Amino acid sequence: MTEALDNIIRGCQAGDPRTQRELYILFKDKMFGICLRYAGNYDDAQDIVQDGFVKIFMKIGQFRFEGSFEGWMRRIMVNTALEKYRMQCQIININDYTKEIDTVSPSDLSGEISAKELVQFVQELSPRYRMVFNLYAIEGYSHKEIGNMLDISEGTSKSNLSRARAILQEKVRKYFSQSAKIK
Amino acid sequence: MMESSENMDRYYRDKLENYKESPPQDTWDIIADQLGHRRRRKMVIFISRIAAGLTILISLSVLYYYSQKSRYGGLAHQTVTTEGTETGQSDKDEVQSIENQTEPESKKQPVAVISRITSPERSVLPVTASDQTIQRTGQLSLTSDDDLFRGSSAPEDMTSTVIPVSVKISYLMPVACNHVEAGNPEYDRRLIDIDTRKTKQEPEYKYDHLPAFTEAETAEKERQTEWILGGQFAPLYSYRDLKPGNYQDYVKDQINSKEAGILAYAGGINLTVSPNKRLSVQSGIYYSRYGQEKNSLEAAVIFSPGSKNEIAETGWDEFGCAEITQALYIGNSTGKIMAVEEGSLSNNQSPFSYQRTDQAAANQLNPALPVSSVTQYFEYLEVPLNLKYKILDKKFDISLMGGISTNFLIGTDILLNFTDHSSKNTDYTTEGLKQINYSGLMGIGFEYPLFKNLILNVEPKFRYYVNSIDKEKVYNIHPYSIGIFSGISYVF
Repeated sequence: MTEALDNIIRGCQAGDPRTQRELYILFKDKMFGICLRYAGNYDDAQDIVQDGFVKIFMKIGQFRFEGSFEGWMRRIMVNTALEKYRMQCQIININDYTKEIDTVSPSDLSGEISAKELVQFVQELSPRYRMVFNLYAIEGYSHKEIGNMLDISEGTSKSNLSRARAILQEKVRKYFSQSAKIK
Repeated sequence: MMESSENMDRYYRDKLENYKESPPQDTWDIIADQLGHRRRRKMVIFISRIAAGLTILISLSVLYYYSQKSRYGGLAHQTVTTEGTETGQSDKDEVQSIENQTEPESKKQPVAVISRITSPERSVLPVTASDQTIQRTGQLSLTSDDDLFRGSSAPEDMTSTVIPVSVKISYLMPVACNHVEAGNPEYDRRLIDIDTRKTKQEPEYKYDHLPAFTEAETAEKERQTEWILGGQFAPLYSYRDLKPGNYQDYVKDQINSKEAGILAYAGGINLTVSPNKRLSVQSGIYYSRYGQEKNSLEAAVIFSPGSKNEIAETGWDEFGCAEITQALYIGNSTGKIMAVEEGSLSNNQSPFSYQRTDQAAANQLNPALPVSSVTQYFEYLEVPLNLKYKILDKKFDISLMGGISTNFLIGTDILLNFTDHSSKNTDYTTEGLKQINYSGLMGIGFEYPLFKNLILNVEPKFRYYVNSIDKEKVYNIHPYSIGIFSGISYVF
């Protein structure tokens, strides 16, 4: 597989349309999954994945086969999502959650909630909360890095993350309570 | 609290880090657009269609022009020729030679009548034509011209002269025109001798001096609109041109190093319309079998099949399919070679995985006998429209030809060549080829009449597809062939 992927990458570096398409087919679902988390809706996610793949094909010549290629692609997708966020982020009214929300233990979730629903919850976050949560919780960036990326302070990043978590927990709680009523 | 948050983050990360969902169907099309693939493709298709349309239009226009010329242009043609050759240098010998040529024919069968001249005022052969009239219209206007009889008195008992113009009048032109232009009294007297005195005394002799009234010319005119039916066959060298595209030369070189041309063949029947002795238009229907050889199988892939459509579209599977069928995709430049359940796949290969294999592994796809190469054939029905122009019109004719052809894909064929030099036809198919294509043709034709109506022809031709035959146009592929077509034609 690694050798096959290397051949595909070399084909893409040579501008071969067929291997470009093969690369797209190989990674389209994973990359779209990432984009869905960063986008507010399905259409925005499609925009991001399109722009991201175009960037990948334009910049693939810079890939030196050092490190994970998939990781390299992910970074491009995330950066594309960040660019889109910056463009949309002119005036965003972020509701301030001051109320402390009880946390829901992961064991309570017990896997009953699907990844698709979790993505939907993340999409419903305000743009900045969504970005901070994705970058910190999923991608593993530090608050300092996130602050640089989003042009906010480290403290704001922490605050946004905290609120994002709280909102998500609330959404999960509602989800389970509604499920219980149905049962 | 902190631990709980971290646990929550981990939970989300585990759930969402590798979350997959298929993007909308048209996503790739949009990406391809932005990469410039499809714009170029659309532009090439557009230009190809315009070129094909223009070629057909020009061909039909030329055909129409010459067909009209053959109906009306005979007179004009003869007139212009006569003027050009005879003006200022006419003499008796030429006229005499005409007489000599036509004498036997005219005696056998007079085909036009010059009746007697009755009026003294119009007692001359009323067949002349002004130069201007001839040059402008290419047709003759018949007027009486007393100058013809300068120096000679008109016989009183001559009857009027009526000459059916339709075909025969053209050869009178040298006489009339020479008289008008040269104004040579000696010539005038000669004309009078020819056209009046002999008419009066021996009307039948006047035909001797009218070479237009012969069967020879009639035969000539009929020959100009001949129809020719023929059949041809040709061995071909067939390959394809990989034109520059959105890929680097490295890709092109790599593909070219693994593929090669093959010997193929073509044959069919044709119908030729020849409106004049130089130009002809040819159409017909031909069967052509082109192809190429793939010398390397390094791109063979084992698919899980439930995603057969996906395979056909992309060459990659989607995993996790329930149906157990295997397919083999042999990567190549033209179309996509699909093999399904041909026994060429080893049972050891898992149907739920894909893998690209190297040459050795690909050969193991058939443990019994390794495959060394694959020959790919494309079968087309071709409807050509060609123009031929004779540059040598003797007993042995040489023509230049060019034209276009509309080619309909009717099938594909895959031949497996094994390492022991044996071959086997398969049910494999080549997917992703266009059904309708256009090609250009140029060549040279040699014709030799075996009998009166039977012609042997040999025509080396070069044919080139003007459009890429690959539907997805991943590569810019244009097949071409070089062949020596030979056959027999029958002239009606």
